[in-house]
Formats: sequence, structure tokens, C-alpha cells
Amino acid sequence: MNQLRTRLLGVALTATLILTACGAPAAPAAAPQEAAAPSGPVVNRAGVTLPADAAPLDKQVMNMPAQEQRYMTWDASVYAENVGDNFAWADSCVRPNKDFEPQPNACTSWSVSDDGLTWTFNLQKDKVWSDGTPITADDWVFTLQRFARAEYDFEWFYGMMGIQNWTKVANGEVPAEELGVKKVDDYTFTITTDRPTPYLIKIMSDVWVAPQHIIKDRLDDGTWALKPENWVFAGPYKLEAYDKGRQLVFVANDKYTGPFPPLLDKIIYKFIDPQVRFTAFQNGELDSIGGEYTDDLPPSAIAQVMANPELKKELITWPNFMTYYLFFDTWNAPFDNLKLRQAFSHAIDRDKIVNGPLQYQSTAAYTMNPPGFPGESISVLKDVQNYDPALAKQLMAEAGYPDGKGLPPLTLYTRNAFPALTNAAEAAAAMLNENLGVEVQIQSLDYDTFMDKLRNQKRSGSGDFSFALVPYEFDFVDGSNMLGVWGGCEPEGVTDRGQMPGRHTWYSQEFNKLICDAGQVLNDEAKRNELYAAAEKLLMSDAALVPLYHPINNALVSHEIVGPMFEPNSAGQVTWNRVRFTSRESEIYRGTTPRP
Amino acid sequence: MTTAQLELAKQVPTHVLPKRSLYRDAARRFARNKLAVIGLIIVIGLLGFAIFADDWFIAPLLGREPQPLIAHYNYDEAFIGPTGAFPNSEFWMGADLNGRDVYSRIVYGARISLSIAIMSQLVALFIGLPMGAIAGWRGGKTDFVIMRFVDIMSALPVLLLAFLIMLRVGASYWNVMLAIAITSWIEICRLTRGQFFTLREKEFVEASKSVGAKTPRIIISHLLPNALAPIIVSVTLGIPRAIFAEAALSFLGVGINPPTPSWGQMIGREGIANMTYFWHLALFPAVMIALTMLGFTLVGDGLRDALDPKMVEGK
Repeated sequence: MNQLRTRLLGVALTATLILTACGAPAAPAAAPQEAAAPSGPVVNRAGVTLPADAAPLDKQVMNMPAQEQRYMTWDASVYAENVGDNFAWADSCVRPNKDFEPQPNACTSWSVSDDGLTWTFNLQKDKVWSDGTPITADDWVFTLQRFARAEYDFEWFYGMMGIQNWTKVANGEVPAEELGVKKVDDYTFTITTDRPTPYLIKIMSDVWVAPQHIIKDRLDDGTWALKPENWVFAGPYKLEAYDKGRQLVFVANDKYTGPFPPLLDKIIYKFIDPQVRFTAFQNGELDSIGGEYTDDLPPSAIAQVMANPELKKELITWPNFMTYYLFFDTWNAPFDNLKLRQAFSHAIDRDKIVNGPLQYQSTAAYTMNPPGFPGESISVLKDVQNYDPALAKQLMAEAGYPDGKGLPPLTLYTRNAFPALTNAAEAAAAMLNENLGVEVQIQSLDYDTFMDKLRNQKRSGSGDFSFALVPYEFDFVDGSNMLGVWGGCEPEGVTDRGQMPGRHTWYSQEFNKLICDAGQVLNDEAKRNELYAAAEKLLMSDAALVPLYHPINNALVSHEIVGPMFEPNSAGQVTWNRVRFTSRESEIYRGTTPRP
Repeated sequence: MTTAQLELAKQVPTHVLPKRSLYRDAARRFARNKLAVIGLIIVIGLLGFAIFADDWFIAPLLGREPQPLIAHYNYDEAFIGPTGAFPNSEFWMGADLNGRDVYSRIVYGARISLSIAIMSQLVALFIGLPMGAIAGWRGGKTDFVIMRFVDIMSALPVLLLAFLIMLRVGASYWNVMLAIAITSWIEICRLTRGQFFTLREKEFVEASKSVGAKTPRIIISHLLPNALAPIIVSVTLGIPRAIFAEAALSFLGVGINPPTPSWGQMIGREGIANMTYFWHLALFPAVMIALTMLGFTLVGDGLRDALDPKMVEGK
């Protein structure tokens, strides 16, 4: 794979040089010549030569489904970004490989000081935006300053990097220049943190450079990118056309000089309703569907695929690092009662859910960290919350609610009612009813309302948000990530548990200490993961949450699409929609012979 | 007038024809309308489903939870059948993905869908009819004020308004009912007002006024019966529309909360997404909605024909 990359890079650079030398008019003339000769290599519009088994250039188009959103770029909004999963046209500092190890991308190299507090990043020098403006350290410093604004919906995420003065800059207390991100020269910048943050480099794979020469105002609310004349791209692809309500058309970016040159000539994101995507795929209108958590293949599509050997060949299945869990307001009645929470945790038969409504879509979950995630200790923790209805009944009685008597009917809140989630919620509710006599009705809230209620419950320490089901998907592969929603380093001088890190109404000083200590262990992953395992044990024994399942993602990808993307990683997994974490668009093309 | 003359007057029969009333005529006409009777049978059948799904009416007397009567299982009993089982002799309409009996959920769903639809239309009638009547009868400034309010209300998309109300008050059975009622009285108000507006100029109203009839009497015995036909049709047709509104709200997560079933929620939650294979999940609730719509439309049409005072028996 590396060989191929090097070869491609070489070809790309040569082609760019030739094209530059010949001047712009030569480019369109060169492409048809290549396409006309069926035996010759296929070269896309960015001048990249495709592998020998590539189909002709006019076939190097891929159609994918998307949901239309308001904003165009990551720096405007992450949750309401158009094609939020398409990172082909943005460029990040580093890019994880299939095993999630950060690889050089726009940042060609990096180093960290001995005390673990200062990171230095060196940038690729010949990179330009698609309008020809050089991409420099100014852009990267500006990008991080821009992320540090309170109105940004992903500000909390970058807050985890522990950059100096982050919160103060985000709250507008000090000017942006005070942020611990400094330009050294045009192609070098440094990041200084308050405490050692060994996983900072992993978050850098989610730092997508924003064009300072276009945005100018650090606090712009994202309207800058709604104007087509402002569209500039740093990644292997660039936007050619946006047909509102219909599609986004991306084409290979001829200005791209990075290590992941585009292979496909064109990528079209069609705004197609999730319910008809399977039919569209079967008709050949789409080349891939599914594989995202709110838009995985519906059970009916999976049932059809399983019964059809031809379709089954196009199925790509992989376990996602994600957990669906029930959680409680442990600060108020009735769930301040540990026995009640434990009763709930033993009353739900996860096997029934993963073999029933979520067959092929899930594995049973007994922990926050999913299998294979750093720091997970499933083998040890599996029995802490095992299914044991007799024990559950007994605990329920000990909690003061024999056969559910005395416990008021509960409302189980869910975030965004997509079918799989509601099925799991209803299954859990039915088992709580059957085994414990608890009455549960399920209320779905939209994303914002749910998150507001969650935040307010924590901040105020009271409210009606006492029982809910929510998923958490990893952002970077590090033991700190998924446990981070439950706590972290306690801010100095803060005693109010509502101000502590984490988003849930659960607090343990011991847990916070373990997570915080683990984050500061340098150069010893085994030691760190030991601390994370200890922290998770605390979390699970206190029944702060009741995990239900870890999803398995299913995607259908046309067997004409081939490339290094389909080589398994070290865990033997082939993944599809983890674009953020790979460089998918640079590793696929349409081949002449179908995928085996 | 002498006593003899008075006695004579008493003996003279006031009517030479056999005693008839508008509603008795209407019932006779309705019974002769085959389609209307079919509609009525459907509606009665659905009401039977709704009422006798379980024995809620005697359960409190026996001091226990209601037991299913027409339904086979309680609507929230999960994992009793295989996931997504197709219709068979045990599960007449198959099982849903949580292994629940779809037939039982359909039966219980009738209770939810119909009660919300009917009640919301009755509430809408109680708001819309008096408002329309006042506007149509009084005219002038009263009419202007009421109709401008109606204009504002009708400028707002019905579903969006209902959705916003639900967001504000939160999802629950009663809130859905009220949200639909609040958004569906407008048409009834408009219709009533239009009817009253034309009717109040008619000769028979003039005649009533000239013999000294009081306003309430004119409204109740002359205007209302003449205005009623389109209102009844509107209310009857409003019922399936309310079922749709309830379905849409449930789909958006602000309607009926699971596990309580409603037909719309059954389609929206699992049905549509899985239609290509587990066809029974969407088909049966959809058929029920269609049947309900057909039933109430036929009854509504039949009532319109039957209640039309201009229709004379034998013609």
C-alpha cells in the first residue's frame, strides 16, 4: 500500500510539474488522449495515474448518498455540516491509518518536548488552497483560534486537547492571540498545553485547516462558506457544483500535492431519502449505502442481503467503536439509589436485543469501552452487570420497590428516534416491565433538546431528565475518549459537581483522579490503559450506566469499487464509512474486475 | 274570538301529512344509501376494536389489570414471536422487530388513533362552530376580527403549528389531541361562517324575522340545519386527517410515545424503513388508516345527502 502511495505521489508530482510547465490549456487536451487509448493508463483530471486495472476515465465517478445540511464546512458547524462525513475536500494535520495510528499529512512531522507540554508541527511547504494561495502556519493557528469560540458546536471537543488559555479565549476573556498555539515560521507552529496530553496528536487528525485569507473574521458564524465564490479546498477533491436539494459534485483537485492524491475523478453526493437508498443502490443509482450510525442499513435491507448471495458479496461489515447505554440522574430520587440502578442493570437481557430487533447490527454491551478499544477490560467487567432476573427482582425489593410497587411510571428519553434506537429502547422498556414491573414510556427528543436537557440537568443538579438512552461514538482511539463523557481532570478550585468534566449527572472524585492521572502518563500506554480499566470498573460497579449494545455497521459498496481501502487492518477488519479516520477517497477507484 | 271558535280551532288538525322531522327523514334516506351503510359498518367495527381491545371496563371491578379481549396479547409484550415474523396462524398480522404481535398492536392502535381523532374533531367543532356562527350572523366588525384571526391561523402550516405546540407542551396523549384540535377548527369556522352568511339573507330567514322569531330560534331551527351538511362532512373528513396528523406528530417524536401503539407511529417508526422486506409492518397499519378514512368518508357523504333539507323523500 505504501509502495502504491509513493508511486502515486511520484506520478502526481510529475504530472503536476508537466502540467504546470505546459500551462493550463494543455490539461484538457491531455486527458481525452489518455482516455481514448484503452490500453494506456487512466489519468484523472488532477493528473494522477490510476492503477493498471482501473476502468476508463468516464467510469471513475462514484455516487454516494448524503443528507442535505445547512453549513458547508467543519469550522462552521460539525453537527449541521453538509456531507459531514466527507473529508475528501478538507485537509487535516495528520491522518490515522486503518489501525488509527496518526500518519503524516499536512503536518509532515511533529515532536513533543520532554515535559510533554509543547508540541511542534512542521507543515508541507508546497501546499496551496484550490485558488492558489499557499497554506501556511497562519492558517493553522487561525483554525485553532477559530475553533476556540463558545458558539462553535465542537468547541468542547477541542477543549479536550488542554491547550493553554483555551477556555478563556473561548469565553472571550482574553484575546485569541493568548491561545497556546503559536506560529514559529511560515511552515512551523507550536501548541502548548496546561498539562501533558499524550493523545493530542490523535485529536490533530480532526483539526481541519480553515482558509484565513477567505474567512478573515475568527468569529464568523459560518455564513462565509455559503457563498460559492468563497469555496476553496485543501484536500484531494474540490467542490465543482452544488445543486441545492439535489446533489454535491466533487472533482479531483489538481492543486493537491499532499500524500493522499485523488484516484476517482468525480464523487457525487446525492441527497436521497434514507428509506429509498437501498432501492437506489439496487438500481445502480448509488454505489454505496449504509454504514453510518443514524443511517445504517435497515433490518429489511439486511434480511434481503443475507438471503441474496450476490448482494452479500457487496456487504462490508465491521464493529463500530460505539456504545448505546441507559443512564440515570444519580443525584436525585429515585436513581440516587444504587440498588435500583443495579436492579435495572441485571434486568435487561442484552442477548435478546442483539439477536432480535438488532440482529446483524449489534453485539451485547456490558461496558462503556467497546471491544478492541484501548483500556477496555470486558473480560473482567462482563459479569458486573450480567443478566440475572432473579437477582434483579431481589435488588428491586431491597431498593424499596418490590415488584415495581411505589416506583412512579418512568419516561425514557432518546435522542433522534431512528428505528434501531427506538427498537432497543422499547426492548429495554419491555424487559424492565416484565422483570421488574416498572412502567416505562419512551419519548424521543431532537438532538438539541436532548443535549440541552442533559446539560441543564448536570448544571442545575435537578430536573426531569432522570433516565435516558444515548449512544456515544469514539472520536479518537485512546482510552481517554469514551470514558471522558463521565469525567476528567477536576478544574482547580471548583467544588460544584455540576461544573466538573463529563456530561452526566454522576460524580466520583476517585474516577476523575484515575482518568486525569492516566492522561498524564507519558510514553507508557500499558500503564495508562491499566488506569483507564480501573476507572471503568468503578463506573460499571456504581451502575452509572447500563450499556445495551455496541453497533455493528453494515454498508453495501458496489463490487466495481476496488482499491487499497478494501485491504483489512491488523484486526482483520475492512471498514467503509470511517472516512474521518482514513483517506478513503484516495484509496478507491472503479476497477475493470469486480472485488472478490 | 268566541269560545266556540276557539274550540273549533283546536279540532282542526295542524298537519294533514303524517308527522315528519328532518332527522327522521335523514335516517331513512341514510339507511337506503348502501355505501353509507357500509361506511357505518366499518366505523362501528373500528369502534368495536377500540372499545373491546381489552376488558378495561370490568377490570377495575375485578381488581386486576385489564386483560386482552379482541387483542391476543398486551400491546407492549415483546419477544413473544420471532423478530419480524411474517403473518401466520398464530400471529395474524405477523410480528414486529421486537417480536410483538402486530395484530394486537393494531387493535390497541384503533383505540389511540380513533379516540384522538374523534375527540380532536369534537373540540374543534366546539371552537369552530360558535366562532363561525357569530361571525356569519353578526357580520361587520365582529366578522372582520374573527376572520382576520382565522386568516392568520390558516396562514400557518397546520402540521408545523401542531409540531411547535407539541414541542412546547411535550409529547403526550392529551397534548396531541389538543394540538390537532387547535389546528383543525379553522375550516369548520370558515364553513359555518360562509353558510350563515348566505343563509341569513335567504327569504325563509326574512320570513322568520317578520313573524317575530328570536335570533336563537332562527339560528337553531333554521340556520343550523341548513348549514350543518358541509360541517358534518368536514368533521367526518377531519377524522382521518387528524389520524394522519397524529401519525406525523408521532413520527416526529412529539406524538404518541412508544410503546403505546398508534397506526401512524407503527408505519413511521418501523414500517416505512422496512417496507421492502417486512412488508407487514407498514401494510396493516396503512390498511387500517385507509379503512378508517373510507369508512368516515362514506358516512360523511351519506350524512350530507341524508341531511340535505332540499332532498325530498321519493325524489
